[in-house]
Amino acid sequence: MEWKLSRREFLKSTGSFLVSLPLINTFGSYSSSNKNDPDEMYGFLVDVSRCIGCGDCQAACKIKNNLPVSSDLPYERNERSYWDNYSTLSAYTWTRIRSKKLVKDGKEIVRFIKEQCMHCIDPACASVCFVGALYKTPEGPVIYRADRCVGCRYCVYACPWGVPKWQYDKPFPFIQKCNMCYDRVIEGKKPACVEACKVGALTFGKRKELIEEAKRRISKGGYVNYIYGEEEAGGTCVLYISDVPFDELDFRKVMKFSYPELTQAYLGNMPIVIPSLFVGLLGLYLYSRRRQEVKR
Amino acid sequence: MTASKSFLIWTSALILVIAFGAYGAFLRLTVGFKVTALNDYYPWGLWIAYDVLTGIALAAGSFSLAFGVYIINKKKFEPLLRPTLLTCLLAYLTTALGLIIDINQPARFWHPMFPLFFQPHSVLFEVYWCISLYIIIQLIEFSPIVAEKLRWKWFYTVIESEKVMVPLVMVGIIVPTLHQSSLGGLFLIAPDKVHPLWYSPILPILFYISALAAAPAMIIIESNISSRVLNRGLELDLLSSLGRAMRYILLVYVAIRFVDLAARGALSYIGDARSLFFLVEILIGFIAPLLLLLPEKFVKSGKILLLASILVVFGVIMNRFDVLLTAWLYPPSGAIYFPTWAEISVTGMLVALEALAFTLAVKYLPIFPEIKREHA
Repeated sequence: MEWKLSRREFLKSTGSFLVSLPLINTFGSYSSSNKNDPDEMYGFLVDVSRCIGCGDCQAACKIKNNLPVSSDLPYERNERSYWDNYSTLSAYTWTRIRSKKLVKDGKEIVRFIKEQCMHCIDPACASVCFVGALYKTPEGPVIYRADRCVGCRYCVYACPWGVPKWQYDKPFPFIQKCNMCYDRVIEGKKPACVEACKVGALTFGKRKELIEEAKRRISKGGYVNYIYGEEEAGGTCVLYISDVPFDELDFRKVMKFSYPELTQAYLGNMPIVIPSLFVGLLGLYLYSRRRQEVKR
Repeated sequence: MTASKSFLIWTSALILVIAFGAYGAFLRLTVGFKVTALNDYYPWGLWIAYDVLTGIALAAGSFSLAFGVYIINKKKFEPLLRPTLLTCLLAYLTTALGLIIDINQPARFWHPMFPLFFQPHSVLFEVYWCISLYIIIQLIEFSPIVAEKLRWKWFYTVIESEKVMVPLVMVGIIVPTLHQSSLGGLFLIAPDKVHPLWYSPILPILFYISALAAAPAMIIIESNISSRVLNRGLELDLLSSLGRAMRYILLVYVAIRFVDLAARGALSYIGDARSLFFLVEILIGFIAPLLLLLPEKFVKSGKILLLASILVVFGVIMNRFDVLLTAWLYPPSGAIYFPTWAEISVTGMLVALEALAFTLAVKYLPIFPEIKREHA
């Protein structure tokens, strides 16, 4: 039967296909975090109790990254409170201070929260980027390589915090987000926002040291016993501690595992699914052919 | 083949729609995304929901039919093959065109093909590669039709021989199986931003089965249209067989959907504002056609088959819009997405392009078996 040969060929090709599947990973990856210890990644600690909302970090970020100061996009205009000078992050505002009024011990107080990219250890944005434009560096910052970007905007969809923004006022937009001043970090300097902070609300360092520092401050009292970012989305390089509960400060509740695992669980089935489909189809084909022959 | 009056009216109407959409696309490429309702809260809108998710889901007919004819040897479906192949190929081509207009950097559409940029951990990488590959496979599957017109007998005897066609069809079933399900896999990354009535770890499976349900539905609708327009007979016995297949696919889909909802405890969300969309989708789009197709005598009625098919197509369209837009929990309550006229015009252009290409192909190519001349 002529199909015997093709069956052998088929097995051979399926086999070689299976062998070559791991090779595809050598072509590219979104992250080098599997090779690097998260403890050694750089990040910064935001101490909400120390922030006075001066906005120097915002200004430093705008200057460092050459971002326009007044560039309201349609959705930035609403819901601006007295202290907020930008009501959301946007393609032109990579970090901002938002304010939150709340009641503590019967007194009305205000807290200021710095927002920017969380620089996840295993970032969802980079995992969904099919050309590797968003990339997790071994040093910690999640950077954007604009020369690769196709503009599918899957990163905007995927980020649990909604950090990557796009220039939707332009015909050929790019994605924009905080890159933790990667160029400064690899030179051994602090990011611009950290350097600008005069009240010690921002502390730059390696993630492990930051967690130790956060625990030290918490143990001295006056803080909520929680480090936001230690487990969020599988851990982030930017960490927060606060003297009021994070729920009351409207911090996003995100999953405490790395988001890319969700898609890897699905994609990981492919080496089984593809050959099984082949075998199933071939089996069905040979079976129906045989049945027709018997009928004759 | 003289151009009849109705043909002229039909094609000029389509050309008008295309011209209008081309203007919308021109604005998108010159003025920018300001002419759309897309923004940071809604990175994906009508173009992804309709042109991509729906367009691909409704183009599952080709590989389903190829499975029937070539793999399990149901040769009786052969007369339906060519028109289905044509509509599905056109759907994929317009999807590709729609995506090029939608992405931020249209000139870089080839970037994911460039090995140095490979990032295979993204579901989109698989979707992109499978859709590109499948367009090529469909072009090869379609080529004998053109060859027949050009009377390249050697060409279509080679391609249509079992040795070439069967392996091609096998790849041509696996590839769309992968990307039909991976389109659902795209949403797995956002568990806390997609409403629990739609987010599920088995979204890929649900997308695949609902696309399979749409396949016979689209074939039945297209057969009805072409039989009316071209005055051909309706292959009612074939369509009834498709109706029976659709019945079982719907049964499996509805069962899996509810077991999944119950297992995740998501049924308790029925009653909130978004669940109205869910109820309309599942009741009118999936359960109603299932009930219509259950009695055997209904499956034999052309009118009920057509009605059930229209409901299924409605259900699948609604499902894709719901998963992408209705279920999208991320934007603050004030930010609601509704496509602008520019977005709608571009989608209209893509649909009209498909219709125009289909009309011309039927006129000039041997798509329907009656028009086949030699080689029958």
